[in-house]
Amino acid sequence: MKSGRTFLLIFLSLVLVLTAGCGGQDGKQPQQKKTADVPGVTEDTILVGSWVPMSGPAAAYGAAAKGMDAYFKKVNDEGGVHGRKIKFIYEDDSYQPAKTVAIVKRMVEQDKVFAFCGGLGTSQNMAVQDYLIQHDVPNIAPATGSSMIANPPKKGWFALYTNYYVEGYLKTKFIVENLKAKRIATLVQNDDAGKEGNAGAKEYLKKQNMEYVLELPFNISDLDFSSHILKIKEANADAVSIGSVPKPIALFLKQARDFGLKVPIVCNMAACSTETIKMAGAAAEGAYFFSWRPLIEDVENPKVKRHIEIFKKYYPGEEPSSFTLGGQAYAELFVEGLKRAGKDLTRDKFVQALENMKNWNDGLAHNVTYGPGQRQGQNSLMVVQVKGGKFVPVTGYIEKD
Amino acid sequence: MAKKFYLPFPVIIVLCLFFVPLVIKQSFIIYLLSVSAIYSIVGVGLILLLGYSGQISIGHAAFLGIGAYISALLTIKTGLAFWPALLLSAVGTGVVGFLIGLPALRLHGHYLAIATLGFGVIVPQILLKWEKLTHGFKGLLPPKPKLGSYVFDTDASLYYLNLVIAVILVFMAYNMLRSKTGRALIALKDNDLAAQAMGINIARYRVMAFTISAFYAGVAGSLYAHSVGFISPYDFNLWLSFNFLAMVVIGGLASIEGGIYGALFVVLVPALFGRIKDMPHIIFGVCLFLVIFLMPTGILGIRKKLSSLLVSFGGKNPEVPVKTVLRGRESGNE
Repeated sequence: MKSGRTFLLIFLSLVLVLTAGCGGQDGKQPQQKKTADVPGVTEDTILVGSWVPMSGPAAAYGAAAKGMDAYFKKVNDEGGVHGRKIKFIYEDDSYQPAKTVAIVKRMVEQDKVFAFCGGLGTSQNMAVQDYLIQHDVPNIAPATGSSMIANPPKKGWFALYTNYYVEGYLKTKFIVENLKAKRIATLVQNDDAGKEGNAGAKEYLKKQNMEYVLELPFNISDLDFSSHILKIKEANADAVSIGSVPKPIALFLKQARDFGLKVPIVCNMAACSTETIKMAGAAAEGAYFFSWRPLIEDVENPKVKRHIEIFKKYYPGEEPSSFTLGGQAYAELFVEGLKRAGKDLTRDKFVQALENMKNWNDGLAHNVTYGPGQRQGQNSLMVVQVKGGKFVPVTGYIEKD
Repeated sequence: MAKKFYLPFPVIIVLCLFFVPLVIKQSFIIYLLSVSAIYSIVGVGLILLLGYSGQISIGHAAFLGIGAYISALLTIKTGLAFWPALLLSAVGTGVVGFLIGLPALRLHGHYLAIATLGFGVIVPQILLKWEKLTHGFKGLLPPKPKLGSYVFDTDASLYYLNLVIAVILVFMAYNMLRSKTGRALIALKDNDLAAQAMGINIARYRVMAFTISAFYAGVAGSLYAHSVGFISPYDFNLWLSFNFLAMVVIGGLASIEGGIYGALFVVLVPALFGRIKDMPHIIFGVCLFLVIFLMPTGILGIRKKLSSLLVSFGGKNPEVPVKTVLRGRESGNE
C-alpha cells in the first residue's frame, strides 16, 4: 500500500518542482507591456533562445553559447537594438535530440522566445525543424555545416557559414586551379561532414571532367594511416584532399612526413586550429587549410581583436576560442537582422530583413547574402597555409560559382 | 497476501498519471514525461537483464536504435502502419538480443561488459554506413503514429500512447517475474551453480533475459522514433547507453520499479537544472555521486526505507528481495 503512495509522492514532487519553477516566470510576463503580441518582444526586451551541448560527447562546442552571450551583452551595454535589450537564454542538451526537443518546446511555449540563434548540431536542428516551422519561430545561424539546413529553403531558417558541400567544392577547386594538381587522392571521413564534402567535391570534378585517382574512407577514431599513405604513393597522386577534426589530421600529417609523402596536403575548416599545428609539429608545415572566418589565432586581425576584447570583458578568466568566435558570428547576424527589421519588430519583418541582406561583411562572416529561396548565407572560404608554425593566408575568400 | 495488496495501487498511480495532461498545460513537461515513459520501458528491460539475470549490457542504446530504425524504415519505406511496425521492431530487436545473448553465455563480468560495449559502438556505425537503407547521416523522419483516422500529433496524445504501452509492458514484466521464469532468473543471479543444481537451465534463461530486454528496448525505440520525429545514427551513441546504465543504477536494480524511478530522474532532473547557467551537468553529476555513495540501492532503496515494506514480487519469501538489493549493487559494480 505504501509503495504506491511513495511512488506518487516521488513522482508528483518531481512534477511539482518542475512546474513551480516555471510558474514564476509565467506570472511575471503579463506585467510587461507587449508590442502587438509578438512572442518574446516587449517595449524594452527581446527574448532569444538557444541550445548547446555542455555535457556529453560534444561538450567542447558548448562554448559557442558564451561567445553569443558575450556579444549580446556588449550590444545591450551599448543601448540594445532600437531601445530593446536582448535577453539570451540557453540550455544544455547533452547533444541528445530528445532533450533538444524538450528545451525548444519549453522556450517556445513557456518562455515565448522571439527566435533561436546558434542552436547546435545537425540531428538536433532536424529534430525541432517541423515544430519550429509549425510555430513560425525563426532559427538563425544553426551551428552545423550540414546543407540540410538551407536545402530545401525554409522561411525562418537562415544558415550562416559555408556548408560541407560547398566546402568540398571549393577545396577541390583550389586544388585544381591554384595547385594545378591533375591526380588528386582523397580521404573521406565516414560521417556527414565527410560524405557531404565529398559530394560537393565531385560536383566540381565532374564539371572539369576529372576524377579522383584514389578515394579512401577512414574513421574519425583512426590512428594509423600508413596503408592509406602507401596507397596514395602507389597511385602517384600529386595532391591529397582530406577532411576531419584536428587529431586525425595531425596524425595523418605526421605519418605522411614519416613515409616521405611530398605532395601538397589540403585539409578542411574543422581542422583549421592551432591544436592541429601543436600536435603535428613540423609535419604541419606546408599543409593547406580552410576557414569561413578570421582565425582566432590571427590576433592582429581587427575583427579577432575585437572578439577577444568583448569576450574577455564579459567572461573574465575564460579563454576565447574558435567556438566562442563562431558564437559571436551567429549573434552578429542575429543583431544585424534585428537592426534592419526596425523599431516595430515582428517575426515577419525580421525574416524579411534577413532575406534582403546582400553582401554583408560587418561581422566575422564573409559576404553574407540571402534572398527569396536562398537560405545559405556564406558560400566562400579562405585558404591558409602553415608556415613557420603559423597559419598564413594564401588566398582571399574564394566563392562557389 | 501479495496479490491482494499488489493490484489496486498501480491502478491508482496509472489513473493519476492519466490526469497529468489535464492539470499540467506546459507541453514540454508532458513531452518530458512522455520521454520518461519511453525510457522507463528501456529501464525495465535493462533491470530484467542486469538486476535479475545478472548480465550487464553497456550498449543498450544500440537496441533502442535498432528498434527505432526498424520501425521508421517499415513505416517510411513500406508504408506499413505504426502498430504492426511497433510489433515488428520489438520482435526484430528481440531477435538481435537473442543473437547477442548466445555469445554472452560464455562471457561474464568485465568481458561481457566489453562485448556489449563493442555492440554499442558497432550498431551506430552500421546504421551510418548502410546508407542505401538508412540514409546514413541524413537520418529519417518517421511519421506520427495513427490509430484509424486519429493521428497522435500532440504531446498529450503521444504521452497517452507511450504511457499505455509502458504500463502494459511493466505489468507484463511484473507478471513474468512472479512466474517460474522470474524465480529462475532470481535463482540464477544469486548463485548460478546452485540454480543449475536445482534443475534450472542456465543457458536458456540467460539468453531469454537478453531477448526480453532487447524486446523492451525495441518497443521503446519504435516509440522514440515516432515521438521525437527524427532519428540519426548519432542519436544512439554510447553516451546514451551510459545514461541508461546510470538510470537503472540510480533507480535501483532490485526491482523493475527502479527502472521507472531512474527514467524519471534522468529525464526530469537535468531539465530541472537546465536553466542554472554553467551548472546543469555539475549539479546532475553531484546528484549521481550522492545517490551512488549514500544510497547504493538507488531511489528504490529510499522508497523502501520510507515505507519499510518489502516489494512483493516474489510473494512468499521476504528474504529474496533483500538479497536482490545487495546483489543488484554488486552486479552494478562489476
